[in-house]
Amino acid sequence: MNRVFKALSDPTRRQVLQLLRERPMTAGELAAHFPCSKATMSAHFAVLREADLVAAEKHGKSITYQLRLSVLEDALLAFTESLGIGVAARAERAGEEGAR
Amino acid sequence: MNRGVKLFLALLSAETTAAAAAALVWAWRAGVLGQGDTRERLLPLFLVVFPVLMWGILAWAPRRLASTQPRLSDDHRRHLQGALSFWFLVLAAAQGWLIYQYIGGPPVLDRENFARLAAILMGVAMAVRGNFFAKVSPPTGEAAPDPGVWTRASLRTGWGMALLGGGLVACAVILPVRWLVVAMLATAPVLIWLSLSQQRAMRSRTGGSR
Repeated sequence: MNRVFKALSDPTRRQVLQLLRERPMTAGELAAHFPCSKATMSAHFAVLREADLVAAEKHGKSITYQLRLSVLEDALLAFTESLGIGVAARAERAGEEGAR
Repeated sequence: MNRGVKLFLALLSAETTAAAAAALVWAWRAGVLGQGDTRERLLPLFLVVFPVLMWGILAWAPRRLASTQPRLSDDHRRHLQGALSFWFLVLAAAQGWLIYQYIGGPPVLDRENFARLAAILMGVAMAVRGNFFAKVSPPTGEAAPDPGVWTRASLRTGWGMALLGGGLVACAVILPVRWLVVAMLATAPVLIWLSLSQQRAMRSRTGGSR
């Protein structure tokens, strides 16, 4: 459960899960929605995979991600989203990077 | 369906068949068969419904689980096998309790507490199964549904089952027994609707948003 909480504590990972609600997407398609580097996105995908919130399937060179949320995990996702957990920390990080 | 599960289900079906036959023979020898009020006269026949239902499901389910159009994912198959095992156990236990009452054993649980216990058990089982149903992988192969539609539909079904299960547990705790029975009966159409909606998702071949 710790892994699930860790995975859901980051707004980017939560946004990935929301995007996967529509349909399974490749890593490239998902990464295109975020202003992060590929390495950062890979780390996010790894955290989601470890928590078993997404399933990854390799097709040739691309990896397709698919949502694997239980009802409890979906409820936790909505709860963390409504509280905005991690949003302030992300804004702070962005601010620091901007100042540098 | 794997052999272990099939054997387990067949043993439970055989047990309910033997129990129904034994109860009928006991009633015939004791000279109480077809006597008493309507409930007592119909109960021996009702006991036979259990094995008939279970053998019927056992004849149908393996073919359904082995279907290749579309092919169910392994975790979906495991989920369905678990559900079948659980409901077969519930049916065998319910038949055992009815036989115990029929042959006039000393009371263990009165009817009210039995109904409450059954509702709690059903509610918890439904909530747990609903929670994990949302996580099963979509079917693959020929006539497989669109994965996006499947994911949304199974999440919706999972939510429905979890809420229904939670509601049933709450009803078992707070409602008078007469209304609890109504609540238990009312879950049936909702479950059928959820099941039909999931079947529609199984046939869906195109994507699209909710």
